[in-house]
Amino acid sequence: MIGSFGTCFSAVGALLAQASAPAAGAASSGVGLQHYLVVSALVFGLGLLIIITRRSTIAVLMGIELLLNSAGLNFVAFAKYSAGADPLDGQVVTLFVIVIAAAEAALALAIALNIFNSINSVELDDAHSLKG
Amino acid sequence: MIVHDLLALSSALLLLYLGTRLVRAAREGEPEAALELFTHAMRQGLWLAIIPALCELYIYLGLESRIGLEPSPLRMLLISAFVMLPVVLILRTASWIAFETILGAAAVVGVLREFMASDGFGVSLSDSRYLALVVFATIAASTLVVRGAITGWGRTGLGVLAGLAAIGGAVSFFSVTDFEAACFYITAAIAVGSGVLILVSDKIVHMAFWLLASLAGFASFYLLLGADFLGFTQVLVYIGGILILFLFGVMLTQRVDVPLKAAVSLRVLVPGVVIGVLTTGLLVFLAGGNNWSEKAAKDIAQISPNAVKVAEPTAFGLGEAFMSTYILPFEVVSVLLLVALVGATYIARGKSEGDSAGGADGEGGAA
Repeated sequence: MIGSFGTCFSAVGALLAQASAPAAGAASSGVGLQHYLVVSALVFGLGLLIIITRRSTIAVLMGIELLLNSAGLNFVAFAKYSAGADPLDGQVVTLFVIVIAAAEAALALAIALNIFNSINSVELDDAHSLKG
Repeated sequence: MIVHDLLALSSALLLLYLGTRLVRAAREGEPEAALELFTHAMRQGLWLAIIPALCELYIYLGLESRIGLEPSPLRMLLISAFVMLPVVLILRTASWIAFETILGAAAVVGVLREFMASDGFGVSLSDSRYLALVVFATIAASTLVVRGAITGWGRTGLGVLAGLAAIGGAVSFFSVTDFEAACFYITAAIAVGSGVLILVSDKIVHMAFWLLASLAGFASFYLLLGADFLGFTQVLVYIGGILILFLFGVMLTQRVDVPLKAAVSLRVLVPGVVIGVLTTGLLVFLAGGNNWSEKAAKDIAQISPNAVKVAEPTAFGLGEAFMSTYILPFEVVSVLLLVALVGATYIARGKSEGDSAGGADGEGGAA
């Protein structure tokens, strides 16, 4: 446990050093708009792959949630970093996205439950008839 | 140079601790027991702690000037350890402990940093964000205590050690000048890594919990971007609401006797994956390669006190925007939410009522 305490102290000491030398960090932060866009694109791609490769309805819904989240992150990031944009506008849009995602999840899970009650399965391939 | 002094001291202590544990195990039991302990510790993610420790010692002793090996490959090692960190630590048994330690220590570090940057928790940071750091630290500490009481303190200590040492390595890698960048990369690793784990895990409950980690990563992205209200809404709505809904959905619709089919057939899978990967590559290429017109750095709110402009609480501005500029979408969305929830209740209930009543009125929900 001594080592862990030592490392903890080292982290604190490092922060102390940083706080005492603010000039070093006065240059602009290394994180910019493109970092957020790339992360968001990666998560979007992951959500897309989940939607494509999964057969379970619920797993597909999880992929959709990832897509919506990455889009929301883009809104906030663009609104913060773009020239002439109000940061609050992007946050408002993302709040709308969250509300709609909540409605979508509730409705889609209800439908999945209904499908399960009808055909005793939530696999997408099994739900091929209109009147279960 | 106090940074390197302290990091090297802690690295030496860490190696000393490991060495004494090994020697004690070798003296008390068989050599095989010592070897087993060592491999167990390494499997628990301790190698991640050892790599930064060795690097720090190497740099501190000035060996790069004598041996001639530049520190840049060492920094690369640090980067690799740091990138591998969430995935490897979380995959191991004690690793949730390390994960919690990382969160908790990051929170504590944030609080300390704010304390030092302002005049005693002054005005530089919004109160809500400071509160969030305290809450995260408390959650991490309490889960650690509970976990230690359940699984034993030995493994808990090991996990804590690995997490703290990894944080030390990460902090030293970013040369402690850019707290925001460190937070960003940790969060990005959590969000993207959990997304990958959703994709590859074969149990649907595991997928739900990885989704939790990924959504929590997004919440902390929002906090990093200065959107505090949005970040907490994300936690409340997604993690507290939608994810629980998903878990209910999983538990209500999963049949124990039928195993989960892992993926679609190869005929669909291959073109699907090709299209997905191409789309991702295109998006990343466009996002990273474009020259977006950005604000001047002094106009951008930062969480770092070194920056020029510090983020302010957004709840007031958001409420005003909802009630003035966005009043029409606000009302429309509220009606939509009401309709969706009533509809969801009806759809979810209609079939079971129809079953109990003899299946007469099941068509209403489908139409």
